[in-house]
Amino acid sequence: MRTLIRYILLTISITVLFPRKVAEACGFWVYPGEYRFWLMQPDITNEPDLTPFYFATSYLYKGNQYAGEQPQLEQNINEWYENVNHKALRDDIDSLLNATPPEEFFSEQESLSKQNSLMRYLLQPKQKELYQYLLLSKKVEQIAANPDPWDEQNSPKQSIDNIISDLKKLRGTTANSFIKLRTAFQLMRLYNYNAQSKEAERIYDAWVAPVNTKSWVKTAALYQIALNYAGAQGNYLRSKVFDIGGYNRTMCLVRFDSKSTDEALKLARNQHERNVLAAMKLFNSPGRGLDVIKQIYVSEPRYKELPFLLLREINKVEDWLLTNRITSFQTPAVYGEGYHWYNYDYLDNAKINYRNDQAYAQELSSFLHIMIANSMGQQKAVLHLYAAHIDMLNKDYLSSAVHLKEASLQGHLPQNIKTQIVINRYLLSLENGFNKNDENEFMAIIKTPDQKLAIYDPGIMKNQLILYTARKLINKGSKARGLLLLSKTNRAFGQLPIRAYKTVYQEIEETANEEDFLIMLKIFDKKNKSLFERFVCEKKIHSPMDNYGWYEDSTALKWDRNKLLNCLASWYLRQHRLKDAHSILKKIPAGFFKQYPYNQYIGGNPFYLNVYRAHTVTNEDKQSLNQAQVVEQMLHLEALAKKDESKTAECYYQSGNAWYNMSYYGKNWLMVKQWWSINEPETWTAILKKNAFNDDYYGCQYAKWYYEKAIKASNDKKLTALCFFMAKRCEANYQYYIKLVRGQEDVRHDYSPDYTLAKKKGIDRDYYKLIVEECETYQSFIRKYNKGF
Amino acid sequence: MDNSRKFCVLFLITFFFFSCSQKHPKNITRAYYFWRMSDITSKEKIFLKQHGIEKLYVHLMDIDWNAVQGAIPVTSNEHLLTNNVLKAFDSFPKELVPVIFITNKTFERIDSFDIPLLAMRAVRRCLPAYDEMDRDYEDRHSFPFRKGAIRPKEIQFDCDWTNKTKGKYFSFLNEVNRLVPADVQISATVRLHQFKYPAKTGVPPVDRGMLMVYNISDPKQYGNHNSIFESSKAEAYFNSVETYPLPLDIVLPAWSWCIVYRNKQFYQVENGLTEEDLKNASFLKSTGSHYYSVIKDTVYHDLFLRPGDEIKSESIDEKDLREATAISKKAVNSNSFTISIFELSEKEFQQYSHENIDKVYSSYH
Repeated sequence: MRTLIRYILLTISITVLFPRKVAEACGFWVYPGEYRFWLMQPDITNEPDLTPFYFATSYLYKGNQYAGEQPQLEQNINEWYENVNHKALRDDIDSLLNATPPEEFFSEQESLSKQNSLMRYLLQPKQKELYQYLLLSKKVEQIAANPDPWDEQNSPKQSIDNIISDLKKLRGTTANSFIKLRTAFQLMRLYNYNAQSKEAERIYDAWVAPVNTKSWVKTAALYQIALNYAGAQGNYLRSKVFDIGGYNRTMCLVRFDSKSTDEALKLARNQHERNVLAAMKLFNSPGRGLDVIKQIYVSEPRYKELPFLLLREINKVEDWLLTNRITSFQTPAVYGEGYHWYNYDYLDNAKINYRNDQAYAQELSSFLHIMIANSMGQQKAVLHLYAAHIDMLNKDYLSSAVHLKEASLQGHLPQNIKTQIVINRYLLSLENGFNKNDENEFMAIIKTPDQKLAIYDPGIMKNQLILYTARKLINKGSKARGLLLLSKTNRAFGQLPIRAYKTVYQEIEETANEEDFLIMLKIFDKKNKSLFERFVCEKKIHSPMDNYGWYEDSTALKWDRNKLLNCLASWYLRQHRLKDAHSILKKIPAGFFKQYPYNQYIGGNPFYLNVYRAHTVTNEDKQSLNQAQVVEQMLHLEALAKKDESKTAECYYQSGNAWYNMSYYGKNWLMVKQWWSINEPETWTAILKKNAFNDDYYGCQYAKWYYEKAIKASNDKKLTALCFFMAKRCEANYQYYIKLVRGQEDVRHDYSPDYTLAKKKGIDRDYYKLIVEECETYQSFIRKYNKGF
Repeated sequence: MDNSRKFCVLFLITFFFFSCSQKHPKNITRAYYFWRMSDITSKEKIFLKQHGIEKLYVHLMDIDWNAVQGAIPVTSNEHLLTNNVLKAFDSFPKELVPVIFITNKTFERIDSFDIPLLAMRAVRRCLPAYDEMDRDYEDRHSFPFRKGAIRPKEIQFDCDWTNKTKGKYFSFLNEVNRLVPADVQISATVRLHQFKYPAKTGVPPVDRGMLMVYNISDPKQYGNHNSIFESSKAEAYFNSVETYPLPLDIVLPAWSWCIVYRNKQFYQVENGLTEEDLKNASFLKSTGSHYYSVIKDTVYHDLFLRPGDEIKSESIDEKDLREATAISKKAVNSNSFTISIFELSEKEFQQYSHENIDKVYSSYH
């Protein structure tokens, strides 16, 4: 029992004491990779073996340390191909070495000898040693796959010792340098599995280090030595492997211990080695790295990783300057050093951070200009491209255009650079608007088959480009086309408190006005659509859910003209334009309102309101109206209020109820807003803004206006007291929302009665007191005025 | 001797005779096999409770021969998890018996010299904190944190030994016997052919045998037979008059599977499919005798199927189960024994009524 009490207290204290923003981090969470914004390909320097380090973040790109290419596989095939004097097919070499598991190799010798040219070659009597080597290497492969099958963690193991003995025998008898080097490497691996690292080093020193070869095996052997060292020594050895290249460079970076960099630098024997170590540290840093790059550049201007390091800086700047401008996420995806995935502290200094990031982008541009002046050859094209991109981010479009032209003038450009030039040319043009020509350029990129673009993530690039273009159109006055285009990106551009990604419908709700709606509808209805229009009107609405295999297409969002009409009707309601809303709702078939979510979140009697159970439809409601019927009845009440003075006050009271029911607190909130959360608006204060809609929605101001009109028109003391009570209630909701907007802490609804004001306004104190204090009386009052007109 | 004394002597002799020949009441333990390598489900837990199952044979691991590393575990389970799940359910105590399946290939290839090591490794996995190495293993796998390993009263080995392998297998069992404390029983599965010809196939040197009243024929063979059980074929194994020289427990079949044939050659077994699934698959056409023909290229349950492939459904209905029960009674050779059913699975036990499952156990009394 005591444990239970302790647990309850702990839970309560965590809930109460945890900062609100940390609490938000639980549950639905958008992975930074889903909204990080970039338009410069992360692979432009063509280093596919470093894919996990494509972006500077506190996590690996693709979340997978094995996402990069393994160049040693291809090199190994080539070395074997040469060694067998081209007597076996490359594909067969690949198949036997890389796609034949040891079990299959040992059990399927006969069929392999029939199917595989390498196997046939090896089975010739003259190739006995090479065959013996392959046999033993397959055994090593088996050990590597499961070094300790009984999970005993003891060594040395007999099974490993046996292979060591056979490998040594083979090495002792063969004169083939190809076999000698490889047996030494396999011996090193086995000694490592047997926890005999000193033996592995001895083999390296004696049989590998002295060999003059360009084979990947020598680098791989050095990597085996590095595996046994942590800290500075490990870093130093890994830096050697990283620098040689061709083998496990990603893992060299993954295993790099940044904290030990200074110690490792002491082991470096020259400036180049120091530069490699500094670069490896920078590869592991999500923060600003230009100072380190400059230092490397000063001492070694041609250091081969400089272009990639610079590219990562550009990608960082894109994230810092664009992510929270292009999406509604408030912070960059990754900011600063360390594991700041949530970037909680970014917002404390958002403006200063942004200014500093702009300054950093300028600094990066200046440095690139210096590098360009001293560069040559293909590096020049890349650097011009970088400068074009960063200058565009810095809004120096003239300089950007000049560099882009320079980049395109360089000879022998790889396809991925050509693709980026096309993209940047389009982006520059987009700054001047989205004319027919831009539209064509944009569609040409989008419709180019992924393979032809020759970039690592063509799908993401296209989706980023769609998002960017859509945002530009929205911001530059072509909102309708921008919003339609937004439906075609599967990048996350916002999240909702209801544990979901923001979709284009919510963006439309937040952004579109009457004109935009009408243009959108016109485009939908157009008979001869342009390629762009056909594209944006395609039925499927894309979202990050596209990337989740379990998410069924049948449940995915689709363009629905009725839904769009409904959004327009909601917009009219938010503007208090009942007649316009009604004329639109009339165009929607009744069946539309019978489907989810309208059938669940709109209903009951909109003119009946029990303020203590405002979200619930009860038997007291006596009727249930859909969205079109609600508006029709509201119009009827308006007309009646004007026509029949005896009913004016009651009509206004019921209208007040209808508008209250369309607020955050009521049962028909869906008529004006697409989502609702129990924690709203408290949890989302950061995005809560004071505006006319929120005044009505969170502050119930329009409902209050009607209650006050009812008070003025009423001769009925009971009704006046009830309307005063409701107006006061609306005011309390308004004050609560305003305090949240101002960022006040510990805000509570103040529903306490105000007898002084009541007296001043001539409200019957007794009735008011009864309504406030007696639940039964309140209910009898609301029942009394729940009648149809 | 007067008449009264004669009568007394006769009475005593008669009493003594009858008291010796009187049938002892049978002590039957209800058991099930849990062979799947995943968590036991709520329905399965409830099933165990409803039928008063006292013993659960839990598939602990499969040992196979690896060309490089010798005998190694290829799949493994933790019966500790099953135990904890059952305890958490409602503190319903079950005796868990770890079962280790060892391929015949293992004993074909293993060097006799390595048998003691294999026995030691198997025992370590079955008994808690057996030695220092085992304690380290259990620490690494958080056994102490999970309230410690279970100490079973019985360990079972399952191997379809042959004349060629019986020497090494029995020597393995002897070694296990030597390693485990006296209060832990060792049992071994006995297949029908081994049961019928004990002199030829040998009798495993264990405390008890578990007679498997199924696997009546080769599932790889294409044909209309039911390889799991057919009473006509099963009866032939029980016509011997000799009593099997080892106290036997009995395991009865209550499972189904599907067998895929390509060009009438065995291709694959799929445990997760029922005949109902096959009936409902649009890419299949029934061709009779529980056979279904694939009519278009399909990937189904991780099976890559081509047109012309045939899938045969084999299952045990209530009649088969009743017949297996009846036939197996002939094998009972002790008063205290375990009756088990293979296997515990929601999908399988819903094919049988609760009454019939209960009847299986009660019919041995």
